[in-house]
Amino acid sequence: MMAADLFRRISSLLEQAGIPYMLTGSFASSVYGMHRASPNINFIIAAGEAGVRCLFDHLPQLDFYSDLSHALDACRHGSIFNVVDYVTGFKIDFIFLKSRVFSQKEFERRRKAAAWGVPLHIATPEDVVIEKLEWEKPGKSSRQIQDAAGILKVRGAELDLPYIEKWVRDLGLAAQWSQARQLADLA
Amino acid sequence: MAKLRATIPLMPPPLDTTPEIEAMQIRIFRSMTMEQHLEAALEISLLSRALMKAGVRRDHPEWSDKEIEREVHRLAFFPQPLPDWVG
Repeated sequence: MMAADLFRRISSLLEQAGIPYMLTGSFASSVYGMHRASPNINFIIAAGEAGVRCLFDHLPQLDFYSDLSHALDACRHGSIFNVVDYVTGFKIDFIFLKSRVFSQKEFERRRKAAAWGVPLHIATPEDVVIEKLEWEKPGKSSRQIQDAAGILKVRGAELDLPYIEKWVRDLGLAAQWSQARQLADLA
Repeated sequence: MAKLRATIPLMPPPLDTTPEIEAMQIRIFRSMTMEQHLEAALEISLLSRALMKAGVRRDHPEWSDKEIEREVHRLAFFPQPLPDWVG
């Protein structure tokens, strides 16, 4: 039950610090699509400097490696900071919520679920697909496209395809979307 | 050579998963709870790291456990040498 312990600890930390958040990235795509290995667990957080300081106040220094000055710097730049869990060795990426329309929209749509008796907010499957298409870099590994295709295969009929296609158009992701659909045998 | 190529029928790429097996796998995934998905993703991630560790140990049998752990962290997270806090 290592996962239970890890997710309980992170969720509790964010809840105690009063920071709105959502699970995203490969762990979110593993929830909706095909499971895959990753050394990182990604959370998008909506926090200012006070929230970050509060998070660090609750962060047990014996359990996690962390660096407050790095986190505050990332907060000012709206970027990312990492925390490493000494117990499992997982790197937790905290990504600051961007102000752009899609980021705000996906955050607003996040789902409140429960895992092991604690609340866990997670991006919707449609938004995880769109993120995966965005993270795909031309000429690089097709892992992100495979993750998106996995969600299309597993969640097929449940997905709001017009919503995905709207953002594919707005964000200029037609090529990546086409690849993911082909891989999922939907093309 | 060109003539030889022309006479070879185009073969479909080999499948590592048949449509029946894939359908079964999708049914299983759809029936799993969020906890089960997260547990599975975490387990395969830990397994992947254990395999990486075994590979580093095989390549560097003279290294200590600490050195092996450090290399595994480096391979997983950092393109550059690890900062001092890990050691």
